[in-house]
Parts: sequence; structure tokens; C-alpha cells
Amino acid sequence: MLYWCPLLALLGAPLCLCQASFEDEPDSGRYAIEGRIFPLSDYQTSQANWQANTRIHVNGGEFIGFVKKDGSFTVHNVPSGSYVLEVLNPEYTFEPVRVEINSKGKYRARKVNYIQPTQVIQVPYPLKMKALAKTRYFQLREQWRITDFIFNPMVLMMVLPLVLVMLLPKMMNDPETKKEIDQIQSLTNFEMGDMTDKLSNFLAGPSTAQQNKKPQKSKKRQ
Amino acid sequence: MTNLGHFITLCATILSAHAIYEDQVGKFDWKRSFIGKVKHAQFDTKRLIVTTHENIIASLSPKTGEIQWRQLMEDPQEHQPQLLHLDKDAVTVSGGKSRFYVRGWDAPTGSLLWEWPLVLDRPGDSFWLLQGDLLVHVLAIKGSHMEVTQFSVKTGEVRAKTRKIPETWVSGDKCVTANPYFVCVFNGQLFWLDVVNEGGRASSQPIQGGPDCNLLEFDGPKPAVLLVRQNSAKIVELGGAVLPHEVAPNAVSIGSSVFQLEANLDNLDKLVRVKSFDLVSGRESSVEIDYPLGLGGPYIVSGQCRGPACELLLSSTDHALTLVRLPEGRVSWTREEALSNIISVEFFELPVSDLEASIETEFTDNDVITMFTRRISTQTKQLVNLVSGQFGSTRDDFGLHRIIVVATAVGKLFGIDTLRNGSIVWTYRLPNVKPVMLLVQRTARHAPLPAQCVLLAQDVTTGGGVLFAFDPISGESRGLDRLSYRIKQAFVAPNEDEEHLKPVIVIGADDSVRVFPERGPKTVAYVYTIDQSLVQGYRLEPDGLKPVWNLNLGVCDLVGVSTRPVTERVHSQGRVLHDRSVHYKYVNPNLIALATLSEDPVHKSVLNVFLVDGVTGFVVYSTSHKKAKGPVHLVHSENWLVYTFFNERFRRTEIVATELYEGSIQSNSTVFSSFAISQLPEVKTESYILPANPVSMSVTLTERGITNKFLLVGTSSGSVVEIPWMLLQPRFADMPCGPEESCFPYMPEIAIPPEATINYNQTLARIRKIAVAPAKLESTSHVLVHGLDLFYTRVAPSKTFDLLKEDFDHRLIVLVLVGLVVASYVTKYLAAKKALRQAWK
Repeated sequence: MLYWCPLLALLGAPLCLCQASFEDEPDSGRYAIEGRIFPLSDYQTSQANWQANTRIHVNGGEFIGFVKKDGSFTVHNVPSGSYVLEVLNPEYTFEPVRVEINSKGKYRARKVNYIQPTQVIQVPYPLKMKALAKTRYFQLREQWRITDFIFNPMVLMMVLPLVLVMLLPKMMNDPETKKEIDQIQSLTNFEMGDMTDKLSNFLAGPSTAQQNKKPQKSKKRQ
Repeated sequence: MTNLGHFITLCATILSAHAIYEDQVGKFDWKRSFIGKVKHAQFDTKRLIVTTHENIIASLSPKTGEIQWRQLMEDPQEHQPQLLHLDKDAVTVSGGKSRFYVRGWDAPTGSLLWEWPLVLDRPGDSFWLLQGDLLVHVLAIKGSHMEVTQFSVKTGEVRAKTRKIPETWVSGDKCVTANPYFVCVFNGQLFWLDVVNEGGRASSQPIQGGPDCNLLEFDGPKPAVLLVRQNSAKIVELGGAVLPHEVAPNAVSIGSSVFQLEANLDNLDKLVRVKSFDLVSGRESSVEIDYPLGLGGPYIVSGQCRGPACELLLSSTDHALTLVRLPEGRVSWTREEALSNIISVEFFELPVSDLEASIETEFTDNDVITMFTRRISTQTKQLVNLVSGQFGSTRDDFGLHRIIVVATAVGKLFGIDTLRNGSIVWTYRLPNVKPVMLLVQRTARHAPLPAQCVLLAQDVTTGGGVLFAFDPISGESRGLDRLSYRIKQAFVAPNEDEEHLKPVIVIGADDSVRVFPERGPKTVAYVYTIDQSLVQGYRLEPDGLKPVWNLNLGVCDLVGVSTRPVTERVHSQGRVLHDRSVHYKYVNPNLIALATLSEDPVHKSVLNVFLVDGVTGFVVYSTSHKKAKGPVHLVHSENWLVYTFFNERFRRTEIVATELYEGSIQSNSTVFSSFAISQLPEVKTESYILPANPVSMSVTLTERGITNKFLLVGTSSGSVVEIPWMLLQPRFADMPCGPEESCFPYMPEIAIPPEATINYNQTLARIRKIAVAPAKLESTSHVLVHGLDLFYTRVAPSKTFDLLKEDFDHRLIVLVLVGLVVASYVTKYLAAKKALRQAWK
């Protein structure tokens, strides 16, 4: 009646897994889930007694397991079905694993994927649980650095004009540069004056006409 | 691409907004751990190993009573510790009915050494004996036989095959073990059999006394049992004689001495006396102990003696654990284990100080001179207080200092301070009472009238209702009212009397209505009661209760009920859409959210969720989920409902958010009426995957409801995570969703980053409920998570926008200001100098 679903038939997997979770007699078979926890290398230093602080929860605490000194664990009295096994430690994060036991007592372990439950990525059984990383519960405080202060746009806006104000008069005092600047200024003045004259002459007629039109438009809007 | 970038930054800001900094640990949060009522206890030189009714093995420090380590075994509903033996390692047998676990623990660290399970073929009464490394299991089948099996305790290997010993005297409930014997009382005779060594024969001995005698274990120097008759007991040595001493049923033997407790009526300061006598020398002694007042009746659990100095571990009827040192009779420490099972929680504001209260009377006099002198005197007092820095137990400006009143399952009330690491301010013990809930009659706002709270409870023996009024700040009693009938429903009426006391209205099982206090104003109100699957609505009128509506939910299990918190305020009446139009919320304060699970032949089990109007009985919304399994958790707040369930088809926990809207026109902007329904509310709903196993769910509550809402979810892994409501809020299908609309695009799986854990690495065991209360500071709510542990913290869902940041640099501001002042004077001086110089040119 119950059968082990072939790994290849991805589409068939949800159907037969559902059947596997149906159990005529809950006590017909009791199995044990075994595995081992591989701590991070800095475990021994920071947590001398990590075995006692680590727990195994199967289906959110429906079955529990404890970790022995060597890191191995066994969860007893589990009937056949599909279970999510989590390793709980306050300092380290572990990836949960889905363990499936069929009615004949065959085990299969795979990655937990809640979004696509049919996707099977197998992991070895007996389980090898490795700590992913140290759990970061805290936000980092922003530290005050001088570069942050200097590159702050407000500071830049203040400092740059200050530099200009302080440096430019100094440069003016230099006689050679003064001459050069005067030259440039006279040149530009001349050209600019010429251009502006031409432009003003050119625009004199239409600009006055436009000014007359504008109030009319605004009246219409009202 | 830019949109995605925007989204990620928005996400990052929102998700990281609520993590705390590492240096804030313990600044405003605290955790207290408990173990529950102690069942077995064994002393070691450095530690005290106990097992409790919560199916826990823990090691306590004999000096301070602190928990050195604690291991939680299976669910205590089905599994109980059966045996504790401490030799070099601690050995426990725990389980129930037909399933047992034998475990060995490393006593100094608490890590597991070995473990093996035992599954019995048939249920029966199990008894365990440990001798050396031999574990003997006796299965008593009443009136027919017993099955004795011997195991190797470390491996579970069967040493000797199961022996079936046909003995008709095996009675089960009147049997104990007395190493190496199995002893029963049957037909006025005492029978015993050596179960450790094979080939033994059952012996018997007649005893005096009727059939009402009972057996208790007695761990004496020789195998013996306690034969209890009513309130006295005798020690019966097996194969020997009945000892002549008349002892109390709680007698315990340590070494060759027998210790027992007696009530000491001679000295009212020391109500308990320890009497001891030596079995060998017959020397008797008696010590009065200064047993703390307020604790229940004690009994001895275990003890240890080193020469004349002894330590006795006492447990009491209110689950408190006390260590007494003899011969001084001094109490070393007390643990209030009643706090491991809390029924109801209320947060209370502290009263204003006398000084501030005196402001009220300041303008009552018409005499100008007295008013002036009073003003001057209060202001000098205020100055003195400010200088001396004495504030005491008075209200603070932000309402962060509160008294948490908790009612525990054993009927003991506690007042706990939110500051000062959760120290207990007062306790009050009500014997033989099972608390149901706390009702607030008056808060401390109405100075000089003190606050008042009512505990609604049930009498353990009669089942009748009990109303106990008390002052939540000081814990003083204001009177106990025992009713002769059961309470069906009780609530606090919203209208106050002239003393600002809200009357408690109690509806008895016979539909009688009583108002407490009796002079309280008569009200018209709508009440509902839930009896299994029948929801009944009534109209409460001055002359009685009239049924208005009823709702039969059919054959099902009611798994969840949720209503809006009474104090909740909805600040914004609608949701602003992308085109700047407003979609008005359907904010009905009378809604009751119900969840039921029912069996279905096709879909296994079906979850039904209803939103019922409590006034009219009108079902506003209902939905169902097929192949859904519990646990179901419901939270109803503002215009929305969130619930979680386990989806058996996809084998994952799902969380569903449902929101109710009136639409673009608000029917009545001032007062909501359940009767004025013109159309059904518009329902938006969306569901998500929750990658955790929720055990409790709650929502943050703030003073004015301006702050964003966070969902607080307690998980089976012992963490409490906060999920922003914005992540769950249903999206409008045909509208854009992005950072401008402050809307996240739909994600099927709710991410739970570790930063969202409000209890960081403080794992909380067996979370039962999360109690939430608003602080006076709009941004902040108080949170108390209770279960086996107690954890209090403050959460600020929109960050503390109304407070200066904790890391605000006051020094920098002062420095910059001083610098500017100095710089302006320097430049002034320089400018004057320059002007002078130019004038001289």
C-alpha cells in the first residue's frame, strides 16, 4: 500500500509523500533519526559546553533530541513520515533538514524548501549538520570616523567656499597673476559686452511683445 | 533595476530598524528562568539535581538557588519524570503510559551521556528501580500479574528476560518500590517481592488498619515504606517490624535520621518547625525555622547531612522551592516556581508621587497667602528631590516604569517591577483557587484614589466563582467574594461610577447578572458566551439578560478566539492609495474572530475562520482552509486579522492576513454602529509561508496607534520574532506597489532575520503567551513573554522617534557650540585688529 517514491519522478513526489504521512497504525514502526553536529572551529573557545546548550527539534518540538559529547544525536521513537529537523543553539545558526522515513524504514534527507515542496535536493543521511555562521542578533553601532565628517556634503559646502575666499585674495596679491587676470577680464569684458549688446538689440522687439502677452494668458486661466 | 534597488534599501531600513545594539543588552530587558514544581531532588556536593512536573531535569546551586543548567525533556502533558538517580552521573527515566526514555546526564555540564527508549506493548502501571547499573522495570497489571524486566542502564540491553510473575495482590495504585523490593498493600496485608534478585518469593505481613491506608516511598537505611493512614504514618521495615514512631506523611530519611515538618503554633514569627529523630540512637531534636510568610504549606522533598549540618529542600503548595539550613533553621534561598505557569497578565501604571498629587489641591484655597506659601514649599521640595535624585516607586514621564500583575495557575498573585530586573514587589496567595483572568477596575490615574484590580477565579473544590479585589500597586486585599455558582462570563463595564471605578459584571451559569460593586451604575451592554461550538449573544438590560442571537459552529473544535484589545486606538481611518485617494478601513470594535477545526472525510481536517459581530451576531467574513492542522493562532487588531495554521498538503506553516475595508466612502466617521450595515465590507486577503513553528502570537499596542504595528510571534525554538505588519498587509491587486506607496512587493515566504528576534540569544522555554501593553511614549510598547521563563522587554516598531537617540552625542554638540562662540570672539578680535591696521595705512 505504501511505497517509496522514486527520486526521478518529481511530479509524483507530492502525491506519494502525502500517502507516506498517512499512517494506519501510529505505533506500527518506530524509528530513530541519527546525525552528528559539526561545530564551527571557534566553538570550543567561545562555548565550552555547547553540547548542553544545543537541542534537536523535530517538527517544532514534537520529538526532541539531545547532543552527546562527541556531537552525535539520536531522536528516538519517530514513526514513519516526513519531518523537519532543526538544530537549536542560541549562538549559531544551522540549516534545517527534512527527513523522510517511509513505512519500510528507509530514510531520505533533503533540503527544506517551503516554496517548492516537490523539489528534492538530497543531503547525506545520517545527517551531518554544520553550523552556518554565528547568529547576528544585534545591529552594529555606527562609528564616528573623520572621513565621514569630511566627506559630508554639508561640510564640503562650507569648506570649499571658505577655501576660495581665503585663497583667491592671496593669488590676487601676486603681481604677475594680477596682470594676467586683468588681461583676461578686459578681454572677456569686451567680448561679453559686445555679445550682450547684440543680443539685447536682437531680442528687444519680441521680448516686449511677450511681456504683453503673459498677463492675458493668466487672465484666461482664471 | 533602480526600482529593485529602492526596494532593497527600503527593505533593509525596515528590517534592520528593530534590532537592538549589543550594548543595550539587559538595559531594559530581563529574563527570569524557572523549572516548575519539583518532583525528585538529589543532593551532590556542589549541586542539587532536580526533576520537575514540567518534565525538566535541572541543576541548582545549593548556595544561591540559581539554575546551573536545565534540560527540557518531552511535553509534560504526556511525559513525566519517573525516576531520578544521582550517582556520578544523573540518571532519569521519563515518560508516560507506554513510552519511556532512559537518559544519563553529565552532572557538572548537563550534556547527555547516553539515551535509550523503551516502548511497552501494553499499558500498565510502571515502576522503576535502579541498583548499580541495573535498571529494573516492573509493569503491574492490576489483579493479575507483574512483568519484571532488567536492563543495563547505560545501553538498554536486556539483562534478564521479562519474567511474568502471577501475583493477585498487585494492585497498581497502592504499590511502591523499596529497593530491592516491590511492595503493595492488598486486603489489609502488606506484600513485597524482591525484583532485583531472581528466585525471590513474595512475603506478606498483616497490617492494622482499614482499607483506606496508603503507601508512600521511604528511602531509609533499611528497605522500608511509609504506611499512611489519614494524617499520620508509620515506618514499616520490610521483613522487620513496624517502628513505633508516629510520623507525618511528609517524613524523609537522611542517613539514619528521619526529618518531618510540623506547624509551630507557639511562635508566630516562625510558623514551621523541623522535628528529627535518629532511627539508631533514638535522639530527638526540633528546630524552628524562619519560614517566609506568604508561602504555602511546606513539605520536605529531599535533604543532605554532613555531620550535624543539614540542608533540607522544601517545596510548598504554591510550588515555591526553599532551602533550609539546619541546625540554625535559616532559609538560604527561595524560588517562586509558581511563576512558571502564568494565567493572566496586566500592566499597571504607578501612582504619581505625593508631591505631584498635592498640585491637585493647590488651587482649592482662595487665600492668596496660603496658596503662595504652598507653592513655594512644593517647589523647594521638588528642588530637593531633584538634587537628591530620589524618585522611588512613582510614575515616570514616559510610563516605562510599570508594575506587572500576574496571576499564576496555583492561585498566587505577583507584582513585578518592570525595572530593577523584574524583582517581585509583592505576592498574595489565595489557597484553593484557580485563576481565570484579571480585570482592571481603576488605573492609578485617578489620584488620590488607588488603583484597583479584580481577579476572576474558580474555586478548586466547588467550582464556584471567586472575585478577589486588590490594589495592584501594593498587593493589599480589598475583599474576597465567593459566589455559590459558576461564572459563565464576566467583563468590565465601560462606564465609571463617581469614584472612577468601573463595575465588573458577572454572568452566572444560571444567566443571573451581578454587578460588583453592587452600587455600580446599571448599563446596557451586549455580551457573548462561547460554549464549545455554540456562540450565544445576549443583550444585558437593567432587568436581566435577553438572548439576541446564537451561532452554531457545528461539529468542530474551537481552536482560537480573538478580539481587539479594549484599549486599542485606530489612528488612521483609511489607507492612502497611489492616486492619493483614501480607502476607508472597516473598524468594527465589536468583532469576534473565531477559528474552528473540523474533521472532513476528503480533506482530513478543515480550518474555518469567522469574523462575527458581537452585537448582532452577523457573520462579517468567513473562510476555510482544507487540509489544515493546528496549532492555530489568531490575532485581530484594527481592521485586520492574522492567523497561522499548518498546511498538511505542503507541510509548512502558513500565515494569512485579512483586511476589511469600507471602500472609498466612509459610512460614519464619528461613531461606529453594528446595526448600521449597508453593505458587506470589502475583504483583502493574502497568505504567506512562515518558516517557523509559532506557539503564540500577539500584536504591539501603542498609546495612540500612530506607530506602525508589529506582529510578535513566539516560536517553538524559543525565540520571539517581530514581523512588521507592512510585510503582511494585503496588496491591492490592480495597483502599483513600491517604496512610494510604502508597500513591499509580494513575497511568498516571510523572511525572519535573526535581528528580528527581540529576545536575542536568550532562548525562552515553552513560550505560552505574549502580553503587550502601551507605554506613555507613543513609540514604545511593553512586552512580557511568559511560559516556563519570563522575559520582559520594550519594543519600538517605528524606532523611538519621540526620544533622542541613545547614542546622541551631547559632548559633540557642546564642543561645537563652545567652538563657535570662541571662534566668533577670536574673529571679532582679529577683524578689529585688521581694521585698525588698515586705518593706519
